[in-house]
Amino acid sequence: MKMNKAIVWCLSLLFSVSASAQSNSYQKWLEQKAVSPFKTPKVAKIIRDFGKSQNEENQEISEEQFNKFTFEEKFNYTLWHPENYEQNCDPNGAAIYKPTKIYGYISDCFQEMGFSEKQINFLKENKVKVFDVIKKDAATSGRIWCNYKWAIVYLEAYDQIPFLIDVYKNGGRKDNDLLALLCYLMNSAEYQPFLKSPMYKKLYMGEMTGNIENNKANQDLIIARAMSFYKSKQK
Amino acid sequence: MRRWLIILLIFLMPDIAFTQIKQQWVLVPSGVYHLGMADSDINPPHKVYLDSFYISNLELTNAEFEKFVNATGYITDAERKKNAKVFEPGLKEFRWLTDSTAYWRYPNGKSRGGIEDKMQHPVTTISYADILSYCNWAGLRLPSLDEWEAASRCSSRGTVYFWGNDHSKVSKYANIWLGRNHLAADTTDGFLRTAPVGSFDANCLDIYDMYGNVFEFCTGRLKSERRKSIAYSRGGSWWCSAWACGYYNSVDIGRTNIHASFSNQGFRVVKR
Repeated sequence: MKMNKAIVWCLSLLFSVSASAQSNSYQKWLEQKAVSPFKTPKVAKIIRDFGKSQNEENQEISEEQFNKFTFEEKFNYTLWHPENYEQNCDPNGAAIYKPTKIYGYISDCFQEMGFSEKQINFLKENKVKVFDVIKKDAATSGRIWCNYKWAIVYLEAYDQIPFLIDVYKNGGRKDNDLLALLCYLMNSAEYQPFLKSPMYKKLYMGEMTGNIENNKANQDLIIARAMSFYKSKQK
Repeated sequence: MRRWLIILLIFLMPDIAFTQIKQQWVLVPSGVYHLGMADSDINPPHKVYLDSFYISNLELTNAEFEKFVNATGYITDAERKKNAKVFEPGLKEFRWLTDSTAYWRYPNGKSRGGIEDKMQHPVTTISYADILSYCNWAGLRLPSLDEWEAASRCSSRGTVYFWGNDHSKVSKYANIWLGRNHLAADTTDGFLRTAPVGSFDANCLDIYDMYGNVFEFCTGRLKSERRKSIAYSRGGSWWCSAWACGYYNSVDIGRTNIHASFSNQGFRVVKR
């Protein structure tokens, strides 16, 4: 009897260690950033130098210097080096996401930093070109990488909902952060049918790592609601 | 008679309104503390032994920080870098404005007013690096992450708050944001941003504002964190609502760059 208990205990320990390792690897996968299609040595050097002086002081360039950049340089600088300090209770910065769950916020690959005003303005002013790059990448990688998802968050790009759904359905490994992003967009726009749903309460009321089970019913429901939301924005 | 009573009340009103809770040192006894909570990635359950320590019953005020600046001529990160993060109603969730005029005397920028009539509010718009300089000058220190939690929890174990998990009681103890979002001003509890220290009920150890009002920086490092540029703070702030942030509890741990200055970050001190 004692032997049986020991075996059960060992098995459960093994299972929990393996589940935790699975979550860690899933988290790392979610936090992966794209490889830029543009070679911009000048920007690469600036970012590298910031990295070396991580402890200290400024992590930003002047508006004047930024304005002299080409589109490609601005794209790389913005999406690989958000230069703004972020609030310290940013959503889910500390959570380890499990593949069995759908969360209300996407993973944080920028840590305690976010896009600055000049970087947000660049994204807004060049939205079409920026999405051309993101879509071209998704067509080959089957993914929307973490830094690209954050661009969608900052742009509140409701018009990209069909694209997000397409990548979720037809991309490679299932990326639950795309579902989180759909929920985030509905929440951000205060889309009433979503705010009145039990799903909304579980995701956004209470703890920051609010989550729901990753099952087909929830996946379908999020996609259907997001499409209704998208259509309502098109009217 | 009634008229005299009214006159007497009017005469006493300013004293009643401005009665301040006095700063005191609260002894947190030594012992084994059960901290953290199940299901928390950042703060899982853990058992620690802590030596006794004395923690301030109040957050550090503008008046106290002014003494430090007057004595030393200290210039804060926000003044040097001109990149403090400030708040005004109308911003989307988790968005802050950069205001080059903001620093501790003008926590949300010059256009949003100074602290002349807020000397008993907690000092804000200072960085972790600034706070270490203050502590060095004052001969005090910050609480560690575990010490802060022990002082906030009393004897509670594995719960979100020191009284349990009932969210509805938070407003009794904490200055938080009660609006659905930050698009419109919320003064439901009487305060848009910070409140004078000790405006809400004290916790189980007679310590005020452990939850809400300002995020309180702590020393220590999470095992998962290798970067030296990150500082930790606890207890949530006036900005936090049930829909965004929600860190006004004994479990969550906020993070930011050691040189970042936000108008919802402050601290409380511990005796060395």
